Amino acid sequence: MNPSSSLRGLLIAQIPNLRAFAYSLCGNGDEADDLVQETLMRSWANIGSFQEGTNLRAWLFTILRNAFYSERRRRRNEVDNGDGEAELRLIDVPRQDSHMDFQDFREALADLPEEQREALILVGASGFSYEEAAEICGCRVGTVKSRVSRARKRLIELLALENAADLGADATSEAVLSMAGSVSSQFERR
Amino acid sequence: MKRTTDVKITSRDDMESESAEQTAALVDVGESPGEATAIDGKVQERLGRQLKALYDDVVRQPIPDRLLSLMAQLEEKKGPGSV
Repeated sequence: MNPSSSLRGLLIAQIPNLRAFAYSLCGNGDEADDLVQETLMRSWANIGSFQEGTNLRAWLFTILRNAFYSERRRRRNEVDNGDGEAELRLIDVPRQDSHMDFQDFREALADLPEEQREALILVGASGFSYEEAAEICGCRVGTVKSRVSRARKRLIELLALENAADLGADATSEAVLSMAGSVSSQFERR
Repeated sequence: MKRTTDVKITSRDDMESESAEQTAALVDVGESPGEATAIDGKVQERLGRQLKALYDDVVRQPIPDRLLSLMAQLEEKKGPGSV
């Protein structure tokens, strides 16, 4: 078997997950795909530094995350010398035709401090262990745990879920709706 | 970006089994272990499901052509590890 063909296949198999993580970092589809493209190019060029038998997905996520933050540093430097637009793009949340409840969740997620959102996604959605997430983020396991925990608490506050939990579905959406105003105003302030 | 409006509804059921592990991961990180109540558990389970549904909405999208052709180009023009 041609080894590069199999590498190509292995990388392609990871693209859907890389895109989902990239979306969660960028909040913007085109930027997310640019980021995945950069990740694929970097990983192809540096495959020699990947240790066989270790987690390919975690390695790719680390590359993607590093690419995201270095691109952002570059943009921030540009902003310092020029227009002030880049910062706003980072909290851009897709708004079109989502289910209402889903949209609130999305906005609450966007309202989280970045490092908390990232930890929550890696552990709660990407399916990484705390240890793997710590390696990807370059921090201690305890730090990841506390970030996930704080993210979760903040989401519950933002969505007013504590009171809604033992009420019926209608009361739940009312509670969520009544929160929507304050959530979006917080969101716009940032 | 293409999104479907029925994501949450369709995902609810097939999430049950798929994301049980991730949901559990979200539930068991209380800073003081005794603090978690049944209601907390339910709320956190719901949070976990929504998070996973949002994420999987992107995972399920088809891979964009430009990324597939990039992989073909990489393979054609240069072997892995070459810069």
